[in-house]
Amino acid sequence: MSSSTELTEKKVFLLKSLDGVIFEVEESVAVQLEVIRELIEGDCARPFISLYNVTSEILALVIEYCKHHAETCSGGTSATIADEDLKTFDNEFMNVDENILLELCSAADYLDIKSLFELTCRTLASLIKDRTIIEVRKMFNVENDFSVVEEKAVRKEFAWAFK
Amino acid sequence: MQCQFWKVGEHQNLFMANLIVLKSEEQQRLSKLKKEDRREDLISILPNAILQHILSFLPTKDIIRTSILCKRWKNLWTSISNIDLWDSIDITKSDYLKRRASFLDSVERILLQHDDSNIERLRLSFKMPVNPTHVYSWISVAIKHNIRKLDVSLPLGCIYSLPCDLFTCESLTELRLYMACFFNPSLIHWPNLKELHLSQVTIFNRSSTQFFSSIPLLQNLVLVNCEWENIRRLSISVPNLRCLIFKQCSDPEDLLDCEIVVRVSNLVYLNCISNFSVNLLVSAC
Repeated sequence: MSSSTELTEKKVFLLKSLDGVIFEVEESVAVQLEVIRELIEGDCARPFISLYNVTSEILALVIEYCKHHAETCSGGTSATIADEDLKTFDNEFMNVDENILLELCSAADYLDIKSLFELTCRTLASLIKDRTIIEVRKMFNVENDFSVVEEKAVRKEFAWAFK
Repeated sequence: MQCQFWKVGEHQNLFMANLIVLKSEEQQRLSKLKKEDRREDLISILPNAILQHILSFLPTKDIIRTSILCKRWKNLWTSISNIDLWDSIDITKSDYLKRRASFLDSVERILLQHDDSNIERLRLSFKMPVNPTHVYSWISVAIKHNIRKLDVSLPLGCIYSLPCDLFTCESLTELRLYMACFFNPSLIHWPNLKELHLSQVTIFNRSSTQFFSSIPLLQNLVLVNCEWENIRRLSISVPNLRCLIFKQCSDPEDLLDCEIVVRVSNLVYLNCISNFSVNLLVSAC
């Protein structure tokens, strides 16, 4: 029985990144991308799905994330161990520079991968939390386009928050 | 390109795929820009919905502070759905009054300048005395924004009044009031309320049976030092109630002859400290 299951051909899908790199992914991974799942269900996922706004660098990471989550969830381990494993993986996975994190967040939103979207948003928030405004500006290259007078006015409006 | 492989008639799927292509053209341009300059501000170009979701993980004070990052961020705070405000001002400090005024001014701004979006949760937890008129208007704002979870905790020493609309607020799922106030509405209608915590609340002119029948989905009930005017028999008969905490440690004189009857069929937790007898009937309501 088990050998026949192994021999069953696994369904694969081809995802093409913005820069033309084609990734082959198994169905269990592809369906985690809600946008792709809908195309697969509508039988519109052939010959490949072009993802014009995700670079190969980011798509590779997204696939790595979905693959790990798909394998852990179907691995037959207990829910507690699987949860712990995913937590450790997620923490390590988020250990990337801010720009990659932002692109991952954007890609997760576009590809509609809820868990990755939550994870990246939460991580980005943790980078903002407890940092001064100057540090946050520097971290994300935010240019302060307020004039001195304008910034002073905003600070005055919410003096409580800036003490 | 891949459209040629699709069967005629799959309009919905074609539409979806086209949507991806259309969205992509703009994104392609953005990605190109991103590649050209990795030092570009990549966070401010995110759509409002994403930025607001990132902000939702931050405490309210930190959200407000992001308003001076740059002009793009200036008004993002006006649509935050979770507002959590508490005072942590040291009363012994010389500038206490100034800080207090500045804090209350911010609370007023945050609530009154909120945009049209819903407020999911509002928590106001103050140790400092607050003008009851302000509290009334803040709760009114929350109701107008279809508040789901309202949690107000205010110091004793003042009686607060509540807007009538609160008692018919259908969006409410959780209500926690730790403040001296009166419940005296002509109608109570909380069809979605599952959690109710009341402390120091006085309930007027309403039989307890009538009161609890207005909250059909109630699961968790906490009553601490509440008064039921002109009620001698307090009957808590709630079919879905799972958790009941009842504490009555205040002056028992008014309630000397009072009897509490609890009729429940799904209770899993009960904590009762009372100066008078409690009749617990675990039965179908």
